[in-house]
Amino acid sequence: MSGIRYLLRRLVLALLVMLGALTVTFAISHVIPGDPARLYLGARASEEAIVAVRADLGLDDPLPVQFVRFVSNAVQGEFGYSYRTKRPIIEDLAERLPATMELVVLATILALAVGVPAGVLAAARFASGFDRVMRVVSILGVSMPAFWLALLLQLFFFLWLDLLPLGGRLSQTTSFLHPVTTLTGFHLVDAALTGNWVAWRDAVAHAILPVVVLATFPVSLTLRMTRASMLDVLAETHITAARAAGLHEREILFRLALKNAIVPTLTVLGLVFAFSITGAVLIESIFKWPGLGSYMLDAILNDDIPVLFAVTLVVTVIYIVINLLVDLLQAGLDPRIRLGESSVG
Amino acid sequence: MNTPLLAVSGLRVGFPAPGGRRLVLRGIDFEVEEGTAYGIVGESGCGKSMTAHAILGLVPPPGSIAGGTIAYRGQDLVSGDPSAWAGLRGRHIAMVHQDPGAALNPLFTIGSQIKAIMRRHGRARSREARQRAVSLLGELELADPAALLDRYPHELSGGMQQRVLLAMALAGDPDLVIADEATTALDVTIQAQVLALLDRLRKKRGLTLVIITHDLGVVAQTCDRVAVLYLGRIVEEGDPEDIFLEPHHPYTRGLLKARPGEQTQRTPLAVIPGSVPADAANITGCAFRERCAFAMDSCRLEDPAERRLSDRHRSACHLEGGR
Repeated sequence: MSGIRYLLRRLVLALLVMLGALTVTFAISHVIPGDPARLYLGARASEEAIVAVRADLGLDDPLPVQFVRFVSNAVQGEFGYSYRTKRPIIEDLAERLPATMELVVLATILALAVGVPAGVLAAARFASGFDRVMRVVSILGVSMPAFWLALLLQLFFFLWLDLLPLGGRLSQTTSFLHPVTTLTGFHLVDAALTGNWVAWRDAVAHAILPVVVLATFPVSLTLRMTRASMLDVLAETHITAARAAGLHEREILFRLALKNAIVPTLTVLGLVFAFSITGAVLIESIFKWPGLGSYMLDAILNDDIPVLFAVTLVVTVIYIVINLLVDLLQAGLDPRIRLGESSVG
Repeated sequence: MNTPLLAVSGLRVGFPAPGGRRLVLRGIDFEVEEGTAYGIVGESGCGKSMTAHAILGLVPPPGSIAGGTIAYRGQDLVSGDPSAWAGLRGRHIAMVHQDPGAALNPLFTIGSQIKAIMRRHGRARSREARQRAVSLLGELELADPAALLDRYPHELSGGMQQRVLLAMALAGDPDLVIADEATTALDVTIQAQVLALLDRLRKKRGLTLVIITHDLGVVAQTCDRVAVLYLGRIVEEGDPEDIFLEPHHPYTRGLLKARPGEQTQRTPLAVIPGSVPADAANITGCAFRERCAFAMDSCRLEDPAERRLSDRHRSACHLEGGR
């Protein structure tokens, strides 16, 4: 009962936030200087052409009409055309978004698969050698500039060891001889689904460095958060009670304590996931990864306003969806959250 | 005489402190016969809980056992294999913690917490575990035990939580149950119910109990033997009649006088003057002397050795005969 009500309340809230994001985006587009028609046609367009384009783009309509059209277009994925490529933005996004998501999802999986267990073990062996090493590694990980790490890894693994490619998603030979059939847009998934193992291996090799660089911050932060909240939980009476009841230390750490400790960690993980999408801008540029980040960077450099708005909206939606998922996941883990109180601090 | 179920001898527990180790238990000796209830009384910080945790081998780090023996059925646990000690927890020696709200894991249902312990100790396979958990909760006189299994700790009242904790302690079918302030968080009527229940369970299951409390009333109701703990040492031990009717140690007498129930008029409550010294290690002589109305020169010079007042009554005080 309370679970369903909680779900509905969260969903309504998420929709409201999304509407708010649309309103702000729309407002900004009308506040910033510069005539969209002029930007679209370029500096030397004639007055007549500009008037025609203004009418064509609906820029002469009253603001409420424009807003409704903006919202309904956005909902349908109609973001208009890029000023620069003159292609429908939605088509660009369909290529770029999966490329970025591939990096971000892999980085998040690494954060969960490496950061969480390492944090649990560091807390379990508090003040041991392992704990000390983890503390140093994770503080380096959260404070190291990504571009510096990226260059360092390129130097090491490409130039010196010649083990991994410098950048891109696939090598050109592979693209020609073993092209990946697009199903989901995730090369790793598509290549595996179509049994194209030559391309899969190549895609893995290309993904390793950007994923490692992108994952450094999330993994380190997850480790630190997990360790800190595990230390809190391990000091609680119910853990001592579980020990007194003779339960295995493994079960105490990874089942009883971790379920408590993961709840606050998930909040951070959700934020970091969304943050990584914007964080990917720099990393994609360094690794020539054809994703959302490099798309956005091009748009910024070329005053490609519609693209910027589209990317902003997409990132906002991802943010909202991720946070909604985190909220629901936490409510699933902690029955007290379903009551609507924030009894977990 | 047969071997006592639990025999603690010279138990010392210390924590690292600047300039050496600070002892919180300074040599504790007591024996618990099988099937009896042993009470340990004392005020906050005297080492009651530490004694309980030490018996289970769960002294919280950085503390550690600094000496002495803890023998279960004649086998010393301190010098023995740590895994043997771990093997006793839950299955032979169980513990009921104070503050039931904190001692239950908030994110797991009552059922899953009880069943985890049953499975761990091989007391039930997964299929029977639910049935066994239901009958265990029924034994603890909880209403509608089947529905209770699917509920979370925060949905239960304090009294119910306490009974669930007792059920969890009994889930491994232990012989010895250590109840650490198990009724302190409850209001008086519920407290009396839980104590009566504990007593019935003891008789029915042949349990041995160690009841740790600051409440002399609890001890009077339930225990066969009583130890009074002050600053990590047992200052007086005896049968309840000895302790309540012929207390010898000034601390015991102070505790008895300070019971609110003794008063009929609205006079100020009797108190033991002063407070527990922060550091027992730096005290020479008797640890209680600064709060003691009978302190003599000898109290300053040497810590009183234990004296047998009768076959079953001992006290650690220089006073002759008392009063």
